[in-house]
Amino acid sequence: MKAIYKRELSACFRSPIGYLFCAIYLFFSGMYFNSVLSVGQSSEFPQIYYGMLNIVLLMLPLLTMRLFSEERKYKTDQILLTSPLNITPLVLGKFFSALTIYAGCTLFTLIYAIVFSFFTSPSWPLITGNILGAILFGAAFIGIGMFISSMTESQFVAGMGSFSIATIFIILDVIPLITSNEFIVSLVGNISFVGRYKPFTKGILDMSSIVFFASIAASFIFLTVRVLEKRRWS
Amino acid sequence: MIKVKHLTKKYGANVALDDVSFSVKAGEIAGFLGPNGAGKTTTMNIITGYLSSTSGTVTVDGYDILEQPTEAKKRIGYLPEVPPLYPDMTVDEYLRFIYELKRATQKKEAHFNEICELTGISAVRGRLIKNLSKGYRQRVGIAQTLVGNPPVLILDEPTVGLDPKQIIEVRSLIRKLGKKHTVILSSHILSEVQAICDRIIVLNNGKLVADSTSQSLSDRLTDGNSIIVRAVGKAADIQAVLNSVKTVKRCEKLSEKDGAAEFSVTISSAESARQDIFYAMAAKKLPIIEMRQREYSLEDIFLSLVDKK
Repeated sequence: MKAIYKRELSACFRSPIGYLFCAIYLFFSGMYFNSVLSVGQSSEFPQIYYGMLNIVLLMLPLLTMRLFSEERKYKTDQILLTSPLNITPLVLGKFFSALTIYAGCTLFTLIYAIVFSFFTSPSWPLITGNILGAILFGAAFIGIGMFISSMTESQFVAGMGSFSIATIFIILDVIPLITSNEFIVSLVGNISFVGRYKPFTKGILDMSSIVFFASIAASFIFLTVRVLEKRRWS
Repeated sequence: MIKVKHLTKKYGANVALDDVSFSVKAGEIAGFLGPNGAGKTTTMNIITGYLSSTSGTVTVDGYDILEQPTEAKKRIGYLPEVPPLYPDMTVDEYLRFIYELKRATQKKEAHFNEICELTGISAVRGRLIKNLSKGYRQRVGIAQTLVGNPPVLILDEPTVGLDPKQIIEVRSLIRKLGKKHTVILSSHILSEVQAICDRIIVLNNGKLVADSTSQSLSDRLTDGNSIIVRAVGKAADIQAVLNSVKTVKRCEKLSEKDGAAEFSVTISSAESARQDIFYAMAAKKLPIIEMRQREYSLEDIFLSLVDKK
C-alpha cells in the first residue's frame, strides 16, 4: 500500500494536475477568506469551508479521474495486479493519495485562521470541526470518483462521469427551494452532501453525518475492489 | 516448477483456451508458439494471475495461483505484451517502485546495479521512460521482471517491434537469464523459439497442438526427404525426367513462370538422391537453377500437426 501511495502522490505532482488542484483550491478559499476578513467576525469563519463545498465537488474529479483509468491506458494495471499485493491495499493506497492532496489543501486554511487570530480570537473548536467535516466530505466524493475511474480506461470519461455526479449533488440542494413537499425536502436533506455538512459549520461533530460520509467512502472503496476483481473473472 | 492442468478459458461463448495441460521444469526455457489469437497471452495472463481460468488449475512452485496468490505471484516476474511502464517516471524511480511493490528483500543498490548491468540499461537509469526508445523500454520491461529475483520469468512476445540488432540482443539476454531462471516466452516466429528454447509448446485456436523438445519438433517438421527443385525448361519435360530418376518417389508441380518450373520432390533417403537428380537433368540439358530443402511455414506446421493428431 505504501508503494502505491507514494507513487500516486508523486505522480500527481509530476503532471500539472496536482498543482492545478492546489492552485484552484487556494484561489477560491482565499477569496472566501477575503470576504470573511471584511466582515471580521469569528462566527463567519466557517463560511470559507461551507462556500468551498460546491467548488470542491467540481474540482475533485481532477484528482480522481486518473487513478485507475491511466493504469489501464498504459497497461500498468498488469504489473499491479500480478504483483504479490492484494487488491484492497492497492485501492486504499490510491484513495489515500488523493485524500492526502485534498486534505493538505484543506489544512492550508489553518494559515488563514492564524492570520485571523491577529485581529480577533477565532473559535478553534469551530475551525477544527469544519476542517474535519470538509475532509470527510471530500473522502466520500473521492471514493465515488475513484469508483468511476475504475470502470473506464478513458480519463476524460472518468472525469466527466464524476463531474456529472458532482453537478447532480449541487442541483439536489436547489430542490428544497422550489418545492414545499415535505417528503422530498426531507429526502434531499438526508442524501445531500452539503446538507449533511451543515452540522459541522456550527462546530458540531454530528455522528450521523460522520457515519454518512465515512460509509459512502467505504462502500465505494469496496465497490472499486469488486470492479477490479470482476475484470479478472470476465 | 509450473504445472498447468486442464486449463479452459471462455469469453462468453468464445473459447479462448480449451483443456490445455503442460508443465515446465525448473531451469527450463519453454516457448509458446502460435499464430495471433492462439491463446498464448491468455495462458500467460492466467499463469500470472491477471486473469482467471474458467476451469483448470495453475500451480507455481507448488502454490496454486487462486488459493495462494501472494506466494505464487512472489515467484513470478511478468513482462506483458505491452511493457507496463509509467512514462512519467525515470528508470531508476520505476525500478524502486517495483522493488517496493514486490516487497523485495535484496540489497537495493547492488540489486539494481546487477539488473541494469544485465539488461544493459545502466546508461539510461536517470532518463524518463517516455523519452526512451522502444528497444530500451522493452529492456526496462525485462529489468522489471528481475526485481526481487523471482525464479520464474514469463515474457510475452519479448522481441516484437524491435529492430534486428535489438532482437539478437534480447534473445541472447533471455538465454543468459535462462541459466538462473525458469523462463516461459511466447512468439509467433518458429526460428526464434527454436533458437532460444529447450521446449516448444505449440498452441493453435486455444488448443495445445504439440509439446516437445525443440530438437524433436524440428525433426518432425523439417522433412529431410522433401526438396524443392527449380529448373529451366518446359514443365512437362522436367516432370518426365524427374519421374525417371529411381530415387525420386513423387514429384508435384508447384509453379511455372518465365520459362522455369518449380517442383516439390519427395526423394528416398539414399544419399545419392540429389546427385541423381542433378545428373539426370544435366543429361537432358535442363539446368537446375535452384535446389533446396523444403522449409515449412508456421501455417504448414500447424496443418501438419493438426493432421497428425
